[in-house]
Amino acid sequence: MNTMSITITGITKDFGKTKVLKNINLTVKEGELLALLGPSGSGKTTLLRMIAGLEHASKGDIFFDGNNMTNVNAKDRNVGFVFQHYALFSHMKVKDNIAYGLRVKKKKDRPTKSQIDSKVNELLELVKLEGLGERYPSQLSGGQKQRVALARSLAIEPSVLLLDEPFGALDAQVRKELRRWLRTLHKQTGVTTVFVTHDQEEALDVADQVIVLNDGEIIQEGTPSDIYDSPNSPFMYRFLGNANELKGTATKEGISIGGVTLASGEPLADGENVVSYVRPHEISLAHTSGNDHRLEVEITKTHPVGPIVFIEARRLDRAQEHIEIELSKGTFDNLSIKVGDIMYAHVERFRTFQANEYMI
Amino acid sequence: MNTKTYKPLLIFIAFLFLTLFLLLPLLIIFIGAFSQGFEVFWYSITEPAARHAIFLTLLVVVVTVPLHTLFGLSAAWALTKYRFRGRQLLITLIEIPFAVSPVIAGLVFIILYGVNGFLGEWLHANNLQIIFAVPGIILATMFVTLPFIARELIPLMEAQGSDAEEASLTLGAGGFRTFYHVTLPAIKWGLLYGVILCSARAIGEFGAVSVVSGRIRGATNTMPLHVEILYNEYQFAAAFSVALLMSLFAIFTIVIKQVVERKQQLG
Repeated sequence: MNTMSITITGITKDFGKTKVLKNINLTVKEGELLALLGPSGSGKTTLLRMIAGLEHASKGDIFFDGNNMTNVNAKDRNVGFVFQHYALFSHMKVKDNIAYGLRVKKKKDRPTKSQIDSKVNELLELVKLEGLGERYPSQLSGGQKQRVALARSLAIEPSVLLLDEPFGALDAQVRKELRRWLRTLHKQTGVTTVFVTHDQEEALDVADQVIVLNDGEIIQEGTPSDIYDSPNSPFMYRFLGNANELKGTATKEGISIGGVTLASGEPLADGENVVSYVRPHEISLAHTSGNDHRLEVEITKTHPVGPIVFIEARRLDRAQEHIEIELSKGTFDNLSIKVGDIMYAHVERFRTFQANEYMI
Repeated sequence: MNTKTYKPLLIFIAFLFLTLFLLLPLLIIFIGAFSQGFEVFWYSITEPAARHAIFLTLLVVVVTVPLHTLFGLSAAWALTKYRFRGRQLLITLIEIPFAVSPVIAGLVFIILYGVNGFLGEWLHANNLQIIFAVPGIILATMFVTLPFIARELIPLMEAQGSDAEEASLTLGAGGFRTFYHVTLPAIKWGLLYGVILCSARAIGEFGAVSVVSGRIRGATNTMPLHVEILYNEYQFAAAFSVALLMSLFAIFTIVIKQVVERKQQLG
């Protein structure tokens, strides 16, 4: 397959007064699997539809392998597009759905009937739907439908493959299976792939590269581990979830949170309101106060799940906020923690941001 | 009373009304048509004036329905696949013929195209006659039947969205191919249903046509007008005969409609 890179420069999109996308620049390398991640209304789907030519930019350009595609019609872009709700042609059999893109080609480019048939069979095999070619879409499960949609989009040997929330309409179980399978499929075909999702777990699990969008702007881009390990803003922490938010004040020594000062390497002005983010597994607990363990908490809930114990505790300082802590089952048992215990927490790793820019 | 006791009562009321207002009149038409024997019935629907009325009615259907199919498809396409200024206005405008009395519709055309109307002088000078002629009848019928096909297609196409069309587009199909291979198969039963309703109304329209036709026997008389004239001339058997023929058209369309509805549900 002749797959291509995608370069987007200065893409802006207004719908009337609302700016859906603000000066977006990004590159998807040839053969890469990239996730566009963001909450609803972030502009991620609009951006994807622009790459496909289903939507037009107010400003900016889109290149496939250095060729400017900005003014090329959707039908001439040779992209594979997979929709959240499959968009299969319900009056056509599975095999005719898959063959559609080949059959509508101009006569001189159109493969022969037998070539089309063998291509359809090859694709049915690729998406593990051998023997279902004679069915109608209504006779398939959601996961099967989406695989047909994928096969259909791959039939035209697209330069790039675009997927809009491809697993959004499926059950959790099928979703997990399919996204693993998408990774495998991507390895097999090697086609440059961009998929849109609002599910962080999905993006981090599947993609080589993740771009997080919010409010029409790129907030952060990087590999899944870059994104998970070092979120660059309060928005990122909140969006990725699974982090405790501790409000405090910057001091010369560090950050003062509820009367406890945490050492911070970050340069912050004295007296400034700040907010720190701590992941639940980056907090340790002790029964007695020590050099490190100084944040006094009362254990309000313990919930063991397999090897991990999820703990909820209430801060006993001024803030009275709840924090979440994750301990290994072993540590939890050694400390013999019970609900109602007063304990001391140590924040092992945290990141601090100025508070004013986002506080509500 | 709980809902269970309502059930037979409601069914009874429904059947009572249907019998009183639908089945009984149909039966009377049937009896009336054959009250003077089969020969009178046959003569009544084959004599020249009747034949012309039938011909004219079918002509109106043949002109009106294809034009409205074209209009309905374009309007529904525009209204459901695009967002534009004036979209709501267009939806409202399409429904106006439902709200306006057909007699008013007829009068509007007289005011526009009649001898003393806005365009009357110009039309007369150019030897074009619309009012009291076939074009007027077609225009009036078109006005009255305008919403039928569009109203059938708009909700259907709205519900279907544009995903399938967009998929077709990204797969390399142009607009016409997409319409023919993707859109049309998805809306065909709804479209057919609209066509049936539109035809039935075009055949039966009385009010608007009556105003613009002038009722010239053998020239501008459609079937409903013909029935009324016969009735006013005390030719009851003849009037009922033509009425029966129209009712058969109507029953025929209802049967097709039932079939189409079932197909629509299955599809």
